[in-house]
Amino acid sequence: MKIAVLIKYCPDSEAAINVVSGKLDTSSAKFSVSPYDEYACEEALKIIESQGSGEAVVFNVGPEKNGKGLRDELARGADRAVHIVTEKEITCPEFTSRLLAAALKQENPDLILCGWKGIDYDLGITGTKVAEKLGIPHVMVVSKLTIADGKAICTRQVDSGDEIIEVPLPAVIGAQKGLNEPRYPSLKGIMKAKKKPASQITPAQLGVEEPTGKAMYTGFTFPPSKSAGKKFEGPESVVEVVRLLREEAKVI
Amino acid sequence: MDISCDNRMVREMARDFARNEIAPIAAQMDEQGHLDPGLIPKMAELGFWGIPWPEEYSGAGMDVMSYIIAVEEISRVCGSTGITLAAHTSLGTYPIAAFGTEEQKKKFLPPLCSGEYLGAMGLTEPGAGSDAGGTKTVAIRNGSDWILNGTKTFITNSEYAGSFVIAASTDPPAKTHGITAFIHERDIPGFRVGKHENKLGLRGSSTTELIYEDCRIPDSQRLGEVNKGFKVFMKTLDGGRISIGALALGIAQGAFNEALKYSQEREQFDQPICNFQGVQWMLAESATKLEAARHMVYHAARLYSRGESYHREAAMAKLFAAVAGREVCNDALQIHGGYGYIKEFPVERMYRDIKLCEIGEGTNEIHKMVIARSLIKDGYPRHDFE
Repeated sequence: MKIAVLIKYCPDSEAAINVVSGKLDTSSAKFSVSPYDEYACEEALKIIESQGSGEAVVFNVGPEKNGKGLRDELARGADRAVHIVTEKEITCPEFTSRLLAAALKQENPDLILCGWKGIDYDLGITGTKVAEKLGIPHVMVVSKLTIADGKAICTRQVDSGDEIIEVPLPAVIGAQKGLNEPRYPSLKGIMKAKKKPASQITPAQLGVEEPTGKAMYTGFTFPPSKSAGKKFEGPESVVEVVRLLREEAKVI
Repeated sequence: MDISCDNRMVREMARDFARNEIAPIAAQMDEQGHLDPGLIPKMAELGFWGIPWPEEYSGAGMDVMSYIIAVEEISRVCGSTGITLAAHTSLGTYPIAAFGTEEQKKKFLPPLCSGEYLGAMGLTEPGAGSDAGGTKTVAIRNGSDWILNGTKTFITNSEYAGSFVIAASTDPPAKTHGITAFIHERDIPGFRVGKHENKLGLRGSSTTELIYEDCRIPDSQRLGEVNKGFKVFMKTLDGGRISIGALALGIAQGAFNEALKYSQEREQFDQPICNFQGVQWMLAESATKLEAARHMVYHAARLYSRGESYHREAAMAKLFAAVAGREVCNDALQIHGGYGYIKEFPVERMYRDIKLCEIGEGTNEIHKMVIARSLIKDGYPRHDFE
């Protein structure tokens, strides 16, 4: 089974993000593969291990430096990498998904796994758009996945229980936390990653142009800093708390 | 700092592993005086026990820098695990990889590299510490075997080890010129692991005596030539020093990280204590010492990787990292005030752990002797004489 894994390389969850004159400044941030995409890659490796054979191909769209993210997944055990190299980071999911869909058409995978969202812009839309462009089904926010008889049986956790959804393959499945526990890249894996095939391809080679008339980020601001809380002690403060809740906070 | 892509990946993996798998159990391993039984196999799965050795012997085939970075990262959260890795690789495995016959390498390296068992080295004796020439353990030739009698002391990893590289005198009057190195397995008649030492720090690591009573070791397990063992151990200690430098660097960096974080959280006089110059000076001096130590340790590792002489640089790096590291840990505890003195905060453990770095694999004083001898012999700095 050939499994494609779509990964995003973005600022680490602990990275400090600055905003400089309305623009994001990630120059001092440490980048890593988005955690939901790590669940996707781990799931691909587990499926291949349980089936005894197969190929996991990791895909990424973005600038040259994103190659490090692809190599991290090769070190974890993915077999091959396809890097769609762009000059800058692409923040438009429509463009990203057109590029990915074009590259995926050349590969014809049996299953496409991705994180259900990236942890940077939190849009959760690229996987769905890729499925739409390929004309195949998609299930997002999946926390359990079983592959059998050309079908994917997906579990989605909802407030009151679980939804079980079955789709024919190929399909795009978006990984949620809880799907698995991603492995660490082994030291031998890190050495092997260097020898694994990794190809680079440009948007022009894929025949994909940047869409026009699209939504664009025009600015970023931090939320206003919280003012200090108030502390009340002892039963005698109850009257004051009730008064403030009514008059100041206006919640009762 | 200038490190390769492999080195960066090893650092990230070792840091994640240390933070998720070791940090949560570090205090407990210190308290109980042994490593968690699951930790050695977990590290084996990832290849930690064979980082710089060739793949044909089940190693990862990486450079020494990757190994040094792994020791540093693990030691940031747990010195006990750090020294276990350092002693296994630099003392238990290196002499076999560097001086072993092909047969010896094929027999011992795969289980060592894959973490099937750990390695230990026995040089120190109750009466022969800094003066290894005073070795009293004797090996007497008996047909195709050697019969060993004597006691080794302060041997790291012995409770986890499956193979031991040990020094015995084969010509006592010749002192250092009469020492021979041997390798042996754990379960052989006449050999036993003695009492577990109850230590100040690095308590999760294993330190015991080794006792030899008419212990028979075949000549095929002699490591190197007869009476040429002293060189085996001195070369082994040269490399071991880089790893103890990395251990000191890691422990001290871990303590510094705790202090920097605490100084920003702890408020006194209505402000975080990092606003006070007294605390700032400790932080600035500590970070500067760490920076210098890191440069020296990495420099020695690079010389090693490039196949250049690293004897003096390794000694300098170990000496500096140990002394600076102890000072950094002291300041880190001081910044914590009373909270640094209790076991709820990890600096208490790090303060105890770092002390070994000024004693183990050669005391500070022995290192100064090593450095001074090299200065007198070769001059300083090296490039002035090239």
